[in-house]
Amino acid sequence: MQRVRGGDAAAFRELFAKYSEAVVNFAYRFVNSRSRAEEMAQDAFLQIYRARGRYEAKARFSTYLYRVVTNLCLNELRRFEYQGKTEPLEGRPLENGEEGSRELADTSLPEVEELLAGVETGARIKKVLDKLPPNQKSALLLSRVEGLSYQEVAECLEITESAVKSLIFRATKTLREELADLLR
Amino acid sequence: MMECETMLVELPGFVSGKLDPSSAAAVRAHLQTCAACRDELVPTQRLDKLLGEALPTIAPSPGFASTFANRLAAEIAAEEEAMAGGWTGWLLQPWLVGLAATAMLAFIMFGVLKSSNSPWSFDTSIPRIPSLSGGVARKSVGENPKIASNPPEKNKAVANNSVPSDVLQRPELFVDYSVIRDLDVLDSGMGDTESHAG
Repeated sequence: MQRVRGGDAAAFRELFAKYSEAVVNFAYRFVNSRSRAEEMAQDAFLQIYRARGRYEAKARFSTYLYRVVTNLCLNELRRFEYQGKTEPLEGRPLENGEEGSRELADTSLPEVEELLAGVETGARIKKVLDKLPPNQKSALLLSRVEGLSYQEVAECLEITESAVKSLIFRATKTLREELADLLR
Repeated sequence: MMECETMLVELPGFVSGKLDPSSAAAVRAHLQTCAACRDELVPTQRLDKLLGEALPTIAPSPGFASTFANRLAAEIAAEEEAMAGGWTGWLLQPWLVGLAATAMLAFIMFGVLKSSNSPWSFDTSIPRIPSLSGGVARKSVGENPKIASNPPEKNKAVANNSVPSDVLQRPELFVDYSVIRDLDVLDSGMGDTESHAG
């Protein structure tokens, strides 16, 4: 990022190549649309590029990046109703005695079905996540999925570490209640 | 000793390895002595594993990177164009153009108002009462052909502010002073009265 500040556009393209897929996935978990998630990821990177002159290397670049992305996602949720609206799933739940198999997905379907075994489990987890309040969902995803430390999550969300722990505890409590059968 | 309520809040972080060493040690110590909290540990660990492994992920579309490359190139081009404009570009900013236009208009209006020939002039030292000199003089000429009409230079004297100030303060008496003087010359008796009235 220091090189980007010095006008090195190629360095910025390297950052994009390194982090863009994770950012797309993070945004996807909020907006449930791949195309919109990709737009938001690009918007986040462009926003960072425009502000490169003001960038200060006080923390990791990923922390700064996720702060920008999280703000975009939370703003998007405030503008539109995304909660509970997931993309439709193809296939059916496994019945008793039936063996599961991974089928090649129809190209018209979301890629989630092409990438994961246990589609049903993943879908259930996503469904419960979509019901969480945005701040709880953000804290949980940033910490557990994106791998940020509690301090970094606190910087992203501009709250204290104690508040981060509290948000994650409440999110975890909801998930445990909704997914109790999967956790036995 | 950590309370159970506090420990439960710390448990997700403990399971995912996010706690600092001292907090993690406190949770560990509590778990050794509290069976109820130990019962919470396994489900929390399983959930942590599910979140790390079972959450759906997607791959960006094939055109994602190229679309961004185009947007970035456009952004860079726009910045370079803005910088190439230099002072010209800076001067042509809409807000600056508007400010210059407003300043120019204000300057023009000030100049107009300051002008002595303007009907809206702010110069209050001479009240602008329409001169009666022309009409009075002509009438006088009709009644008494001996009285000459005011020569232009006398009208100019009125216009140029050479009328005595006491006459100026009494608009009802405002007649062409030069006519009164002419009458004084022709008939000194009546002229005194008229001159006093003037």
